[in-house]
Formats: sequence, structure tokens, C-alpha cells
Amino acid sequence: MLNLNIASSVLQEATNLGATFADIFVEKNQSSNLSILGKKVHEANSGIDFGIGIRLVFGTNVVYGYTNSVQQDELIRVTRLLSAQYKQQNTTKLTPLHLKEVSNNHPVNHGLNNDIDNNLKIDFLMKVDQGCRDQSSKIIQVDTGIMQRFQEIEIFNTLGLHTSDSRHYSRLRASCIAESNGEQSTGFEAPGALKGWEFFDTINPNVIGSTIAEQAEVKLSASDCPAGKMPVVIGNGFGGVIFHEACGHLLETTSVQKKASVFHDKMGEQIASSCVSAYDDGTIVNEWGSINIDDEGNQTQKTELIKDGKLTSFMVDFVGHLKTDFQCTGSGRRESYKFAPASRMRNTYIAPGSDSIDDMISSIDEGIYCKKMGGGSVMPGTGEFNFAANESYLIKNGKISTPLKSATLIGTGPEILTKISMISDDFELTAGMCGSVSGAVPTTVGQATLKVDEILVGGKSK
Amino acid sequence: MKTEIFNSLEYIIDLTKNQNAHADVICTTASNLNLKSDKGIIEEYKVSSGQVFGIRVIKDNKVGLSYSESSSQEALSTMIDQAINNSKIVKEEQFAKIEVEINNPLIDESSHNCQEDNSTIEEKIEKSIYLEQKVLQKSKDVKSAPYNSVNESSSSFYLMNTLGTKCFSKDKSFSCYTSALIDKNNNQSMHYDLSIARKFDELDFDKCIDQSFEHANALLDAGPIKTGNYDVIFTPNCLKDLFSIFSSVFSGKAAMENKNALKDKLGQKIAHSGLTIKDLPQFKQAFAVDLFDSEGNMHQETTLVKDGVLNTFYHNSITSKYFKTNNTFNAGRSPKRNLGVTGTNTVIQLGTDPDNKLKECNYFEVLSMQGGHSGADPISGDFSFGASGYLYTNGVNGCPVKGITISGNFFKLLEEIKMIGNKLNTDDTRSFFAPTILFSNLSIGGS
Repeated sequence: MLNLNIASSVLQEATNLGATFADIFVEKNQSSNLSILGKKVHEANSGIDFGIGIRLVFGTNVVYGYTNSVQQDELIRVTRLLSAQYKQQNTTKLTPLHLKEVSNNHPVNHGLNNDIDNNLKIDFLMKVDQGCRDQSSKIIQVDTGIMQRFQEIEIFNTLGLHTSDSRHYSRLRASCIAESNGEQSTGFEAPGALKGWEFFDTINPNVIGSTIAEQAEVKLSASDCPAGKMPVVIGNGFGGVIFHEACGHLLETTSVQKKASVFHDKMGEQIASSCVSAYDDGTIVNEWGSINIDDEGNQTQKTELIKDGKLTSFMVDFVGHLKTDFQCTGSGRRESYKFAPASRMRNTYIAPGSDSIDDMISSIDEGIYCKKMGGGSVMPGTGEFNFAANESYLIKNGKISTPLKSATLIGTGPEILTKISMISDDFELTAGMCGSVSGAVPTTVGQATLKVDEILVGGKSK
Repeated sequence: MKTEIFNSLEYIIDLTKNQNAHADVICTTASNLNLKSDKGIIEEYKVSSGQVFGIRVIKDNKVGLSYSESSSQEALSTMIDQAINNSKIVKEEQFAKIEVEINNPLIDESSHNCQEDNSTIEEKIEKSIYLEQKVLQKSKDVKSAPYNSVNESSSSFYLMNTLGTKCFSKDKSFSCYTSALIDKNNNQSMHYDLSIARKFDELDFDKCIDQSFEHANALLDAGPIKTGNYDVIFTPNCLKDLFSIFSSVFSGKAAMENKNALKDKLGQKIAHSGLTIKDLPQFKQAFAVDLFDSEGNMHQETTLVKDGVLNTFYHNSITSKYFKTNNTFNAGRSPKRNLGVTGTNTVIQLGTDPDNKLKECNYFEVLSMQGGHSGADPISGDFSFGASGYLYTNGVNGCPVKGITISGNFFKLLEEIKMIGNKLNTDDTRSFFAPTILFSNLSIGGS
């Protein structure tokens, strides 16, 4: 996408100006969105983003800029602007750029560059809508959409790297509203993959429709959630958001390097219950959070974060490596050329265990079962987190009882890790978007159903 | 730059007309400088500039959308073709029309939103380091100021349609924030504070430093309060966040799409009779004043809630026709999105309760909320957030509290107001203005 000679000139200029490292990130991003609302094609939108990000590193200091232009003059101008405060001179000759071929581990048949007929997409969404309405007469609105993205990237750096990659993303968004006696509630699912249209062949649209209808209907009859500290069983799949938010972010060198993570000095120490092992794996074939190379051009990998409760690795990007000395883990990611890369999660999960879910439930006199978690957030410095549960049930005398609404779990990452006491084997991964310093990137969270002995639950007090 | 962009817009409009379609086109440009410091030096220095064109084509009563970040004629031509192709597959939209016809260009270059500023990069670097260093100097227990930043942002908005309407506005602002992370005896606490201004020398760096430290320090040894029901006051920043999370309840578009629980409540009482909520685009105390909306209509004042009764929703040309009501000229659109509605400056009218009397009560003051969007359901109105703040007994002894959840229902919260103060407060972004409001009986989960 960017002429090799222009890339070399820009990197040479950065070197001349005293940068100890520089890289160029070129991105073309084609997107397409189609949505159905109320059984009609509601919106069709598409477009192309294109831009170039230039990063200069002086020691461990980072300067970053971007432009939409591919002209050499403009790229040199941005480079000079970025280096202005350093005012250094260097005569080192640039390492020649060598093309490094990337092996594609995520095959795609029908990406946006080889797209299928729009009528097939419309048919699929109509089936989701119908599946939802067939499930419940209380559904008053169904809103579904297909989001597709084709991202092409090219990376050059002063270490002589020239590489490129293509990524195809497909995601379904399905939501509905149910109404009864003047009260309304919602259901939501959004599966996604690093695949083309063929991803939708793996999804039964009727099942997705009926699933969101069930979620909404259950919440209509839900009781207020009790408040206070209690044992909580967290469901599989998106339940992994709890690890993502409460612990994953604290294991990124983005926060470790600033000592803004409570885990920054805990390498090798027991930070979790011994039943907990956790990974961040960018290599899972066609998984939503997978990549071939990261946005710094490094090959991605499967990174073991916690083994039997002991901290074994952080997620490390290039600058994180410079600042902490930990080796890069292929975790440098960014939303687009508008962001400098930072250490970010890919497919992050707690490994399955062997406990039975029945045993978990029966061990609890009074607590809650969060079958379906919602989103959440964390304050990195302190590890304080907050998660919403989209679908939850009261556990009373060892049995799952009435559905609950508006349950929120709060606590701190370090605290909860030590209170995980049981993990089952019903492991699942679920797609999501993670927002942080380098923008919103596709990530997968995952876990099997697990039990936490005590979490503060926010609900309506009795 | 301005002429070049209007030339590109004219090129797009001409090509669109050649295809017998109607359209409006938006272009936004933005340039930013962002500085962050760590350990006394600039750790991150980011400069950026970019633009994006977005077209909304209406052909055969169908709407198609597309955008491009490139202004090359080839890219813009492709964008138009994509939008027209997209329009072919969507349903007919009987109310979608390009109808704003203004003969003279609307140019908003008011000094309110964009002021001359001669601050240098060296001054910004110095203040960025100052933000971090002064926080660290507050106490030996301050471990770091991990999140701090000085920013300069300039942006412009261009609109042109096939009826000849031309609009332009620009904006320039500065902001800074810092944080204090305190760690003592295995307890951690962190707080942020923000300042924004139209001129660099009007930024209040010391307020950010002092507030970050004082709240982090106060909350260091704080713990939860007993689970129960409490009367609650939200700080202006938190009240603004709460209203932002539930902003779709005032959206005519959400009502039209059957995604607004208040859709059938027009003319009905939805809130305490003392509550009046207005949208005031030209509110002088606000940080930004907006002249026109995203269809090119002049903004106007809108009363959303009057004495507790739902008066209207935010409307654009489509939603107002759908509901056979007046357009409130709140059309909102960015280049990559479809036409929607958006508010400008929200102003809640003063009540009659003196602030000093109101603050003599027993209440929990919410200083910060975590998990805002994830813990709220704008359809049901239910919310449950993590929170920290201060518990007041008879208006005194603001006891620091953290590790709690605060739960309720937005619609009930609007009804269950105990007192409304008589002094206007604003949030840090100066886009939300409200008196102190005492909400009754919210549920707090704690110890």
C-alpha cells in the first residue's frame, strides 16, 4: 500500500533525527454494515478508512502521529514535527527493509473482497427476527445487523522489517425488546469470528433469535436482586469478562510499566487460587481475537499468564519490552492507524477445570448464578471492577430459583482471583470489543462455569 | 483547507445530482496534540490530523450511506456509487427528504467556540510534566500519577446538500487531566480530575492536581456502608453521566424505532413536578454553543420535560414527520453514521429548596460511578453501578465510602425526588447544568 522507497525515506529521516526506533503502520479498512429493524431492511452503510501512523521512539519515549496522505513530503513533515522536541542528529544508516512473508493461519472464503449477495444476508437476518418473534409473543421489537470488515495492514520499521497482513471480521448483532404490563426488558447476542461470510453458516439464526427472546422474557418476570456480599456462580463464555476486566488489563505492560497495576511486582508469585490457570492466545484458528501478526509486525503467540495460581507472564508490546525487559509476546495491538500500539489482550480465558456445576450450586445456601454476564470496567491502578449480569438467578438452599434483574458484581481483581474455588469443564469463548489506550480491538473472553466464594453484589436491598 | 473541502463537497453534490439522487454530505476534520508524562519526562507525544467525508443519498425514497477518508476524486466517486448501491437494498423511507434550503451559507466562526491562542509547545510540555510532578509531591504515599494528559484539539464541520445549503463551523479547545494513585498499607485508591478551556492559559491545572489527590487520599481507607436504602445526591459529573446513559429516553428516533420506553408518554407526568429539563444550544454559560444541526437547520431551545410532564422528544425532519409534530432541530449525524437526533446543552431548571437546607439532610453523595453503560439498561431503566463517595449525616461528617453498588430505576428516580436546589451547578465539560437534586431511597449494596 505504501511505496517501499517512501517508507525507507521516512524511516531514514526518523533515524537521522535521532529516533532509536521507528515504525510505520499503513492501514486500509473496508467496512460494511447491514441492519434489519422491525422486519425491514433498515440501514446499509459502507466505507473505506485509510491512513498511516508513524511512531518514533527516543530511548523509551514515544511520539506518534498519523495522516491520510501517502505522499512522501507529508510523511516526512509529520516525522519532523514529531521529533521536534528532541532535536538530535544521527548519521546511522537505515537497516535495509526485507519483506517478511506472513503465514496465514486463519483461512477465509468470503471476505468483503469476495462478498456474497446481499439478499443472503437479508434472509439470514429475517430468520433471526422471525426466530425471536416465534419464541415469544411479548417481543415488540427486533433489531439485528451484520457487520463485516476487511482490514489490510502493512508495517515497516527501522529494524529492517517490512510485512503485511489481511484480516476479515464478521459479526452478528441481535437484540430485542420484550414488553409486559408496561415493563420492558432486552435480550442481546453478538457472536463474531475472524472469518468471512462462512462464519454465518455456523450459526443457526432461529436459535439466536429464540435465545435473545428467552433472555428478554426471563427478565420481564425477574425479581429484584439482593444486595450484599455472597457466593456467586458465573456462567461460561462471556462470564470470562470478569477475568478480562479484573485481571487481564492488569497483566498488560501498558499498566505494568507505569506500576499502575497491582500485579507489576508479582511475577512468579501466587496471585490466584491454585485452581486457576489462564492464557491469552492469539493463535486460535479463526477466533474473533486472533491475529497472524500483531500491529507491530511480531508473530502472535499463546501466552500463559497464570499457571496453578502463579503469575507466569505479562502481555508485552515493544515499548512494554523496553520499559520492563520482559520479552514481546506479540500483543501490540491498536484499533486503527489513529492509535499507537499498546499491549492488549487477544483471546483471553481461564482454563477449564473438572468440578461439576451441580456441586457448585448445591454448595451455596444463598447466592446468585450469573448465567450471562454483560459488560464491565476496571480501574487499572486499584483493580476495582464492575460487571453487569444480563441474566441471573437466585440460588437458595443449594438450588437455582427465581430470575433476578439488575445484578452487578463489584470487587477487585486480586481479591476475586483468590476466591475462585471451583471451575467446571463447560468451556466456551465469546466475542467482544475491548476499549483501552489504543482504541477498541476485537477480543475474545472465555471460561467454564466457575464459583467465586464471595463477591459484592449490587441490587435492590431487602 | 476550507476552500478545498467545499470544492470536494461541490464535486460530490454535482456527481450525485448527475445520478438523479438527492443527498447531504458532511465532512469533519480534526487535528490534535496530546502529551502524557511519566517520571518527569514526556512519555507520549501524539500529533494527528484527519478528515472524513460521509454521504447520505436519498434515491427513490430510499436512503444509502457511505463514507471515505480520502478526498481523491476517485475515492469520492466510489463513495457515491456505494451509497447509491446501498440505497437499493433498504426499505422505502417515506419521510426521508433533503429539505433544508438556505440561500446564504451558514458560517459559524464565533469566538465562543474557537479563540485565538498563542501558547507554545514548550508551555504545554512544561505543564504536562507539572501535572504529574505536583501530584507526586502531594504525599510520599502517592505511588504514581499513571493517567495524565494535556491536549489541544481543533475540529471543523462542513455540510452541503443538493438544494444548495452550505454550513460550516469550527471548534478549538484545550483540556488536561491527571490522576493520583495512592498506595498505603496494602490499600489502593485512585481518582481523576479534568479541566477544559478555550484558551490554554485558562486550564486549571492546580484544581486537577488538588482534586485528584484529595479524593484519592480521602477514599484510601474508606470501606463500604451497610446495605440498605439511602437518599442520594449525584455530583454534577455523575448526574451528567447518568442522564447521558439514559439519553435515548428523550430520543424521537428511538421512539420511532420502538426502542424508547417513554414513546407513549408524551403529555404525561414522568417525573417529579419540580423537574423541568431543557435543551439550550445557545446557553451562554456552556462550553460550546451550536448554531445549526446536522441537516442545516438553525438550532432552537427545546423543553423536553416541563414541570414533570414529558413535553417532546429530540426530533429531526424524519422523526417529526413520523410523529406529525414540530421539528426541534436536533438532527445529529457524523460522516460514518445515519441521521439521528442529539442534544446540545442540557439544563435542568432551578428548584426552590435552598442548597444549605438541602445539604443538611442525611444522604450519600456519589463522587464517581464505575461501569456506567454496562450496568444500565436504557429500555427497562434499571441500573446498578459501582460507586464511591461520601456519606453525610445531617449535612456533616462526609464519611468516605467505596466498594459499594448503587442500584435503581431511572424512571422511578425521576419521580422520587425529595428536593431540588436553587443554585445551578455544571459538570466539568460545561454541557450539563443542574441544581443539586436529592433523590430518595436508592438501593446501596455494601457490607
